[in-house]
Amino acid sequence: MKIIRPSAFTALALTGLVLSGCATLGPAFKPEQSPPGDKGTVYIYRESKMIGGAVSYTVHANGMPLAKLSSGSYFVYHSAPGEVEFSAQTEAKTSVTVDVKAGEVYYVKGSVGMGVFVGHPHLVLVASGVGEKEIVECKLVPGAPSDGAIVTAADRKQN
Amino acid sequence: MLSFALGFGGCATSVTLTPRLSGTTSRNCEIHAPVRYDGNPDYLPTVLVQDANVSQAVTLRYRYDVNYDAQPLPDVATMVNPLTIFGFPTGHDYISIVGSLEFIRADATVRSYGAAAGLKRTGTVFGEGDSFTDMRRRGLLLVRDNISVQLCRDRTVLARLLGASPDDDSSSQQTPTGARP
Repeated sequence: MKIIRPSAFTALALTGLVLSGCATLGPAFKPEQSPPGDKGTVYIYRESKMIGGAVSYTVHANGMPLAKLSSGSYFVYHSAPGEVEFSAQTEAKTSVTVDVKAGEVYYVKGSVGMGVFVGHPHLVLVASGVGEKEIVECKLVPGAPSDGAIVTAADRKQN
Repeated sequence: MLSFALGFGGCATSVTLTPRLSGTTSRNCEIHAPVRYDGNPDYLPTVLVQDANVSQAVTLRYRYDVNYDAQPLPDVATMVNPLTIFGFPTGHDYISIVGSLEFIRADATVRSYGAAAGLKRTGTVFGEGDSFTDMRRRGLLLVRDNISVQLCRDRTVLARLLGASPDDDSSSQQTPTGARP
């Protein structure tokens, strides 16, 4: 009987697969030094967790895609003042609306809950004290847009 | 049948609103005043009419505060619980909204109205129920309408207050319903 041994190639491929999730993230969290004064700063983050760690989802602001939020990642978004709805969807949809004020800082926390076929995304606005502590371990999502040049809910009503 | 009931019944959002009031605003109830409010106009009490032509001695300031609280059950507990696949709750989310309307004369609050709404939803593996966006909107509209009813009940007193001269303190009293200390 022939024993199948994992070849060096298979081992490398498996290692690559396991590490690929980590490799896509950028540097560790660093608070913004000079955010634009006429906009609000929204940090969207997700703590690193084993359960649901394989699930990632795209976060939208007023329906426009911003970035993919995976376990242990964060990105920053500068928004014009007004109501902004942050949403995400897998087999279930989640959304939270933030009434953004110029010069203020907000923290939107993402997580994953249990679903039938895939985990449910969950977004919630947390207090600054909580967000500041939890985001420290997160790493930046590379390439996430940070300018808030999107329409707000109020703009959409006018158009 | 049980799983069906659990799965879909669990997603319903429960609402509590205080103060408890009966009735709605009448059509001809309007309060004309200068109003300071920079939020979404949908959430401003509907009986308030922004009017720059009335006396500026008393101005109105409307504000609201929204607080969120997500309480998911521990992941392991959810995974090992066999009832999860029958729609047993995977967590609860809460949102509380407090609205306040102040009548301000010479930088002092001479009268105030308040209302608070609390909403709770229960998530299951089949669905998360209302989103925080939906719950927030629903709560803000409930608070708005509650304060509107309180204002209409007191409109005679308020008309006097808004038309009163700065020296007239006869109408400066706390409202019996929804009054805040």
